[in-house]
Amino acid sequence: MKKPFHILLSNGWKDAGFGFGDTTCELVQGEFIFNTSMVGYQEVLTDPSYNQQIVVMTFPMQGIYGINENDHESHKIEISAMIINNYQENVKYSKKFISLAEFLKLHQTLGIENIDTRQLTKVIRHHGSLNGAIYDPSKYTEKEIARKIQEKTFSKHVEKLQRNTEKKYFVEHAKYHFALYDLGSKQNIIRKLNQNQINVTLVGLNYPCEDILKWNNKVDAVFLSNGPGDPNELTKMVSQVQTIIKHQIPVLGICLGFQIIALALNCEILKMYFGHHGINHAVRDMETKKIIITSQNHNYFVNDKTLPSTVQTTFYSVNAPVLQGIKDDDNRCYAIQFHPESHPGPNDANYIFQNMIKFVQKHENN
Amino acid sequence: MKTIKNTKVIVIGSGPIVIGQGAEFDYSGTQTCLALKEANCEIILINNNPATIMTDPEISDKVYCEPITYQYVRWVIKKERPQYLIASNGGQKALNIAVELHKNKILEKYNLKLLGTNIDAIIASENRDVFTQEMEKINVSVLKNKIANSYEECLRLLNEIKFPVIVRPSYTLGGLGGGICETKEKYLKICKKAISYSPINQCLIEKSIYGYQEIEYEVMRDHAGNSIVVCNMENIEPVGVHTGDSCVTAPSLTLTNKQYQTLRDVAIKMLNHLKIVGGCNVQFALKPNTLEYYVIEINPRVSRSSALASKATGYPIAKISTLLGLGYTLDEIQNPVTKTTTCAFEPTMDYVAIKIPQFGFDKFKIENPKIGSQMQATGEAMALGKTFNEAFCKAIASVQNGPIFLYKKAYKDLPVEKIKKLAKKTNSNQIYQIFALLEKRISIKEIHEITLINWYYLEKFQEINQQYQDLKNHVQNPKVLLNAKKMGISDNAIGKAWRMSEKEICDFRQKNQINPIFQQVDTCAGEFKSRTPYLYTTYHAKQNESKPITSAKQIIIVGSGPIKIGQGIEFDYATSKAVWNLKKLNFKTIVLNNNPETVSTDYNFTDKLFFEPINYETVYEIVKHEKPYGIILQFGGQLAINLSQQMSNMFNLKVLGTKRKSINISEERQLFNNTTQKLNILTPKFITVHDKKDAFKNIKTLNYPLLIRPSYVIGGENMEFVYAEDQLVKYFKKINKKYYPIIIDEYIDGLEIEVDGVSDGEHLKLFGIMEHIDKAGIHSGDSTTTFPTVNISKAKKQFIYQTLLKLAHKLNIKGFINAQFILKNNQIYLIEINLRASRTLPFLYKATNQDIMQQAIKVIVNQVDKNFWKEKIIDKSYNNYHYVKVPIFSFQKIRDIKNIFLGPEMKSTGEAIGVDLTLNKALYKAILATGLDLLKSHSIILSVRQKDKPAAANIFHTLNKVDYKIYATKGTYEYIEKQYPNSRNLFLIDDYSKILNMLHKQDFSFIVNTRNDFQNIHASYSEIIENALVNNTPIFSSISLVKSIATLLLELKFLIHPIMRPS
Repeated sequence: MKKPFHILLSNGWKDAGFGFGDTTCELVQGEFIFNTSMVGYQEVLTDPSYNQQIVVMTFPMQGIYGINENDHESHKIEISAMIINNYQENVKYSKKFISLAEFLKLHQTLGIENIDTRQLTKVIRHHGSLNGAIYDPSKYTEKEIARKIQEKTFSKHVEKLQRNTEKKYFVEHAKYHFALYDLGSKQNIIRKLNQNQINVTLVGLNYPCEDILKWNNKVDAVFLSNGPGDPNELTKMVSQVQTIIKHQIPVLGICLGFQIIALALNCEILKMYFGHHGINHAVRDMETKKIIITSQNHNYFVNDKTLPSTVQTTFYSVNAPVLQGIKDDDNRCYAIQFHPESHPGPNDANYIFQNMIKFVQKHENN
Repeated sequence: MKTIKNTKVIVIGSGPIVIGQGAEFDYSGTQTCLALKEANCEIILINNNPATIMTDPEISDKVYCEPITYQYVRWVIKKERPQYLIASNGGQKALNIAVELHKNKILEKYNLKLLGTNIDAIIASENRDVFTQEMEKINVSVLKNKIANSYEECLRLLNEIKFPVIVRPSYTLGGLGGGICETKEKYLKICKKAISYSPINQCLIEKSIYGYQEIEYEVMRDHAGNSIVVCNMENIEPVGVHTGDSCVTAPSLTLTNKQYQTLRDVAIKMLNHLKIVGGCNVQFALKPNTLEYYVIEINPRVSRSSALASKATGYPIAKISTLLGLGYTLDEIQNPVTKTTTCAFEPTMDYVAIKIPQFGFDKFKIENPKIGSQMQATGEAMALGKTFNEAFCKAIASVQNGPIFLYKKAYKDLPVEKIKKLAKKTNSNQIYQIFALLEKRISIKEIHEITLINWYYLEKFQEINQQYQDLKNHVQNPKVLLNAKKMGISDNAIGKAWRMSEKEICDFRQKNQINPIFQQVDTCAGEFKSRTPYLYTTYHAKQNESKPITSAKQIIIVGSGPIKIGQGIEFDYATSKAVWNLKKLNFKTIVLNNNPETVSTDYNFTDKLFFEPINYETVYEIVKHEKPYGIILQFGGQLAINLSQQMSNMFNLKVLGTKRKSINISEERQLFNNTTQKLNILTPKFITVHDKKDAFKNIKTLNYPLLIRPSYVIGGENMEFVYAEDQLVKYFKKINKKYYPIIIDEYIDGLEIEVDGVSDGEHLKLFGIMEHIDKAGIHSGDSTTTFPTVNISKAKKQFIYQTLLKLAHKLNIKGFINAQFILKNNQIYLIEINLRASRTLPFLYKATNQDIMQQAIKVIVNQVDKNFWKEKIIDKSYNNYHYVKVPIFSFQKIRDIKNIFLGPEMKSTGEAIGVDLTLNKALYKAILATGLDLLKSHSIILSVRQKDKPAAANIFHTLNKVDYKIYATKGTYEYIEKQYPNSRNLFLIDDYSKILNMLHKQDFSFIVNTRNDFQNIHASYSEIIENALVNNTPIFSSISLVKSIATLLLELKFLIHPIMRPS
């Protein structure tokens, strides 16, 4: 028997569906956002940037190819809950796979199906990303939930992630060594850096940057990963970046990392209406003038009117006036708003890792 | 690059519809022309398919209805001097002509630039060697043949190959002696066999991709090198079945992100390397659950797949492709759906689209037809749903000629082992065999092993099967009904399980408030606001997205669904024309159709498009929600007409046009006969018999020859011409009881006349009177038709007019009337009338250059003025030229000797038009359009039945004058020899191998075969016929047409004759 669950949003919108995965949960609260990828639910589930978010998948069928060992972006499920139209149990034709529901159960995450996900998507589009809850109607009344939604705020996403620190990902014949501030890094950023012959040492949010400078194994650049939440909260990290810049060490960043670097350069960061969450976003490379299709996942953007004169804009969204990349030779910063590491999404932007290396190279020679 | 505007562009169309080159090119061609129009270009179109929308003067500036050959395209170029050429919208044919124009330096000579993809890329995509070379340069895996000329070479190749491989002996029919080898032992064994089986002791060795998934990508690339993927698609059947014959999902459902992106990367890499500009299709074979792939092929043009992808996503590939050709980049083109963003994005869907092929095998009476790399489907239907099951079942409800649901009666009592054996070979009934196996509780694992179809799809089929069994066990249970509806099962199919009618199920649903929800297709899964009026229904949503139009009267136009033989592109033409003209008359239009290849399913054409199965259920739900003013059923061919019976009392909906009762009379033989008798209209005599005894008792009242057929069998099954009593005895001996009652007609062997017109019940106007070159007895769709007539007097035409006027009054005809008459011995007989848009209307439009569709629509909605009726018969052709329409067959595709004989059942897939000063010239051009240049060679084969022998002698006599060599079979030879003894040009066919050799060298212009006693003919002769089909040598079975051809040749063919020394 399928267990019923209800959804309530802060604006009063509601719907009812059935649970799958870990249905012992009685209440899940979070910020509701939608994702338009037609493939890659496994990567979405395990992407730390979705921390404390409830993800609505716009593609109605999810679960078809199960979950495999190789496509994780972190060691666990990062989203708070998954909302879909129709769960598709995959057939077990191979031991290499487990089903999506089993995976959710394993990581104590609730899924809910039979929701009018298109309608919900349109609500989010219309009202901006909203707070809300999924709850067991036999345990809570709608009124109780409405109050809980009012009371709940979401913050300190990165702190709450509790990422492992000082983990080393070294490769043979490495050319460079990067320190990577793991603010919720997708595994594929590390894979991509490794593939480009870069040794990576992971450090956590609060790791003092002065210590990095003292490492025996000298770093060629500091890399700020993607991650969840509001960058404006991370003031300490911002000032750390400013310190690194002073030491003339190249700073690179992706997504949240990009936003922190922008803040370190005294730019303004604003919240977007409902953010970009999908794998079909066109971006223009301002240097080559070429358009690439990118994977994006962000709720905040850098106000390009506040950029200092040292900054060059390198990427822009094609279909919206959103800044997607910057380069600052004076301050030795190179950062990207979207996800060149993809997973899920097209590999069009993979070349940006080479751009980053060239950037580091250039400043190494100076 | 500056964008191209205000210039003259020549567009090459794709010509007549044949299997594998269908209506999709009309859809893309029309989009191309509209895009050119937007860029203010003058459009010169060459296309000789009269039934297309793109040849409508509303779309193109100048239309050349000339044969689409290198020669004619060159002449048009010379005459028009366009600056640009578009060849990517006319299928492979147009691309080939572009290559030829390039090779012969015509492009250079006239300073004509090819828009879109460059010539080198076109050549690389077509030439396998060049393609392989280019792909190897960029490390893209392509399947490569290795050739071994001896067993030793096979041994040596062991080091180079990776198992499994497939070994094929060269030049053996059906690959006899080859096979798939997984091990060295098997490889050596099969190689030995293959080498010995091959007549040249050669075998081809290739990596076996047996069981791989077939995945397609539709990619767009602009000249600046930006690429986007519009959509990818997954074939449900593994590789080996042509994608046109496969069930296809969009997007792919079983691929992980990694698999999806790997193939996407490869596709874009290929486009970049070949510098393709515009839309392009790339096909892959992907090993399940791995990243191992092979590129199957690349098509640097719009295609059937791109039409499907356009309709599946809402992204108009052909239009954008044209704009890219004109020099725009993707980000410079506005997204036609959102209108606020650009075309530089990848569509994302929040539903799934499934395409199912429509086969025409029933016409050819082939059992469990094998399908493979040669496409055989005549058309396709697409359906949208939130789940695979929903979309799949809806698609099944949209194709025709199959069983009501997924269970074929034929398999019910068949032993399981037999069905397994059938399902093992890819055949057009495989889906039904799978469902038969599921019903017989065969496990998915076993079915997977038999068919290699992905587990996921088999699991879904199992769910559907279980749901249907559940339905059967819970009659009139609303809860089960809701579950069935969520699975997309049609009311009709549920009715079958519950032994109720479709209407009763629909009523039951209403009572229980089980209704579908209308959802919008918007290319972006709701991320952006959009106003596309493109809708589908689902039971998996809760919010309705279709706002009924209230600003004007709405009319629903029901389309014609998938293309099949007898229901072709002409009905899409009629539907599209109806939409335009109703719009001009200030109506709002709603189109219901499910064929992704068509113009009428372009959401830009109509105020609202419902992409749904065409049935009572859908119409009911649309009418309930949208509250339209009226519905027009006359444009969608027979399928739409069949709906009219059920349309009464549906929310005050007006069925515009002729009433159902009159349509019934026109369709039912006895009722029709009663009516004509009352009106004193002469029709061929006929009797209806209920058993054999009855037949022989009453047959005396009729005169031979006779046409015999069962009264209720559609498709002309068991329809025969009978010339004498012994034949009649034979017929009744073999006919099964179930076919009674049987109708026996007097067959009048006269001149057939076809008429199209319109009436308002009071007046009548004939759009044209046409004459068939073939004698009566051949289906009008298969007949060669001319306008204006040659042999029909003014008085006879008046008589025809008066006859139809009487009928129009009696039946209160409001709208179209199509009628066929026979003229013999100065008598005119009426054979049938059809009260709907006909196949010949678009032809007449071209031949008279009058917008007859517009006129007819005005009549239907009652908006013509009195003057309209003043001209009673349009009898003058445009420019006084002769117009000929010839049928095109796809016999090479569906190869079966029994089917080449034309008769009362339609077999052609398309048609071409020929226009010129004289009838002979026009006929020559029309036949040229079918691929036969009558002036090219000097030999024909003649083999006729007894009654055609005098005509054959006559043909010989004519052709002999222009020095034709006639090869005749024994009976025919002897007859002609007697009449014209010692003729230099007459040969007896005795050395069959010599004839086969000549066929291979394509020495024969054509074959005349009027024999249909195939069980009695010489095996070697049937081999000739089969080889003729393989070598594309046309076979004519209409002796009257051949007579006209002989006359034509007498006029057009030049002699090479010496002046001899006087003796």
